[in-house]
Amino acid sequence: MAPMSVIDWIGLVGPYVVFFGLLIVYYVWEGRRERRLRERYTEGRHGE
Amino acid sequence: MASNAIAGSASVWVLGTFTVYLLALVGIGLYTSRFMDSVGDYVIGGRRIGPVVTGFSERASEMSGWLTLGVPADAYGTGIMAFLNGLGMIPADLFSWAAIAKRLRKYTELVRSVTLPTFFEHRLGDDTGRVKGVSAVVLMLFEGGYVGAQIVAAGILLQILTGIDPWVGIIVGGIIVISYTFLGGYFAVAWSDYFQGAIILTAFIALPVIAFVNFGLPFEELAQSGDSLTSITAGTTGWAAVFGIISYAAIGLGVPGNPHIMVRFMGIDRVKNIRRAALVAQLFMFVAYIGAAFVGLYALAVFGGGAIETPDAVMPMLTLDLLPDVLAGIVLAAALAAMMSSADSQLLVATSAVVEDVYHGFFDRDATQEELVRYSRYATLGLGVASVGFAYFARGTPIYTLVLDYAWGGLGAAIGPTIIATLWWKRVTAEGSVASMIVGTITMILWTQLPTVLGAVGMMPPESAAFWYGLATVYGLFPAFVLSVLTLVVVSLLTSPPEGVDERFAVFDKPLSAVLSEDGTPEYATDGGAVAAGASGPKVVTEADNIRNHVATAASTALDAERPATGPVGHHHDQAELPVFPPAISREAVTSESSRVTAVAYPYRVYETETEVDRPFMSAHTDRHVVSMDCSRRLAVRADVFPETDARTVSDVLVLPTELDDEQADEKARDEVFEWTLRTSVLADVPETEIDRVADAYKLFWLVERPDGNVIIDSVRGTERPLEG
Repeated sequence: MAPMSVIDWIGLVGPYVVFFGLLIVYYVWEGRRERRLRERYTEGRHGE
Repeated sequence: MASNAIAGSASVWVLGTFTVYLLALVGIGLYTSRFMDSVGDYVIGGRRIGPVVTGFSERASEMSGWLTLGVPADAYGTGIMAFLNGLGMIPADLFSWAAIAKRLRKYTELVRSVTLPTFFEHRLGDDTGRVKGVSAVVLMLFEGGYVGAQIVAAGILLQILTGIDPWVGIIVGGIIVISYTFLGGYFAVAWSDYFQGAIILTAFIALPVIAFVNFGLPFEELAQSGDSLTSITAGTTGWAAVFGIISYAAIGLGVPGNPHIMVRFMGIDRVKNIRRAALVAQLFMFVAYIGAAFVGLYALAVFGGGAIETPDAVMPMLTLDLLPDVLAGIVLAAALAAMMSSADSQLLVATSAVVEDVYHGFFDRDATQEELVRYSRYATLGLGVASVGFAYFARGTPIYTLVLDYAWGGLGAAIGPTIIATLWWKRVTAEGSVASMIVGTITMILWTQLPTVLGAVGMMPPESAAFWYGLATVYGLFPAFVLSVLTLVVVSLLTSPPEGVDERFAVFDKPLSAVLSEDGTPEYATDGGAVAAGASGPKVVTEADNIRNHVATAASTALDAERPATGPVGHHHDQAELPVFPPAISREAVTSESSRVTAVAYPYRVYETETEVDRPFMSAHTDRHVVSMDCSRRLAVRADVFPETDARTVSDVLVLPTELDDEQADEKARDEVFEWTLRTSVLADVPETEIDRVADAYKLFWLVERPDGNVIIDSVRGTERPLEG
């Protein structure tokens, strides 16, 4: 008999896979957001 | 298979490298401390710590005790469910990086806070000292709990290595922690923490890999030891499983309230690094949580279930069993060093909470420096001894539980909701925050004792009543955090928030570079400031607020009305020769056909000081500081560089009056340096501060009248505020 069921494997691996996905989303999204903010701020200053 | 026989029989090579490593650390620390300008800079690293070290140290602070010994022990007893230790922690940490780090960094920069109690005090506009006092008591209680847990962990390590009795290990561990703190602590600690963290993290990779090469995956052995060990719910079902998972997930609720994590956020150097530091910290967590759980599982596979009397010992025992002696000695020495370092900083945080925030800030605002130095020593010793006592009585409690119940959880429930609210909710009030801290603390302490109390009075629900049993035994941080949040919201809605929050929240929509000093922009130009404990001056009035008041007064009087000043100060001038900080934004740059520009000269006095710091049992060393005195608001803020000044002719200028004469300003600068020094060291004597250089100069602000609204522009920083406020 296999020592672990499918549910156990999903419970074990699943959260880490999801968290890794979240980390990638955060890293990409945050980079874009910061760039947008910086550009908008710089444009705003030039426009004064 | 190895067994308990390992305990106390570590080889000469293990003990040798263990001792040499620790002695080398102390030696390097003593050597480098002679050259450090200010050991206190570590508190927020002068806000100059790079992304890898920030990310690592944010996580490495947990490497001590809980993650190193506690999580492997949890895995040894629970099985694969211990992987769920990351279930709440990892996303909560990501949330903190995404939602708290930048806001906290910007806001604390704005109000120049380096500790959480002072940040709360400024953000919530609390002049009564209640917020600072209550948050300081919370810090004292639960940071003390942390110190106790580190002492227990150190005792277990020493027990494993030398075979001494646990209580002897605790006494020796306690003596080491207290001595380390008295000897100065903070020895090049940012880098030291980084190296200890790196070594332990490497061990958490190496141990499972070596075990895998030798034994394959451990799951077959686990299944043989018991079905529950290979179940993701540890063999529980229904409500028991639900509350079990909630308990693991709730650990993450502690992230926002734990100062050692928040302080790392305050110390980040620049914007792009926050994202990278978050990436480093998160990857660190993945490796550490998976590695720590595997260490416990492999200990089960290698030593067998129930073979180890003290589960907290499984990590050191597996290290001794699998690694070559020399490497094992280094890993265990790094673990002990990490515990000492954490305990040292936690003891200093607790000391400064007791003496500075509670005693000096609340009970005796006129305490002398001699008294504060003396009481700090007593407080460090008293709290250290109390922590040893706590460790002694709690020595039977697993480190895992000790940290979660008596340190992490309390800080999370009491401080966490306030941190989040102060950065995201304009409506939060000082009263709401104080109530939330009290409710969070009490709930956490009571809930931890709930099963014992209910059992004693015969009201503990039986396990068959799964829901009620699960609720009574769920990790206390879950109910404590929920009740703390509810209290915060309800009490805040019933009371009035501080004024002027809108303007400060506006800063969150700008890139960090617009708030921080970037290359070439001197730190002294920072808006906002902190008032020394005991001062009765304004606490949350910004430079802009101050300018508005003066402009309004100047407009309503004849400008040459009665002023307490001499010379050009306090008057409007068509033209004046003034020493100024060179503007980064010139008057011409903000002048256009449709706008009229008036100048405001804002008085500053900047000091470069040299302080002789005398610590117990150590040779004295010298700290250098730059203190920037806002002479209009009577605020001293800490600066990184001594500024250049320039004599300029400024036309159409309102020169603000200085509210401090030279003698008062000098005294205030010395007081400020004293306070910084006291917060970061145990002192043998009141430090002597000499003033090396002084610069009196004005910072220029441009008042620009525009069709769409008049604004105040800081000529040095380039920040803009509405004139009408």
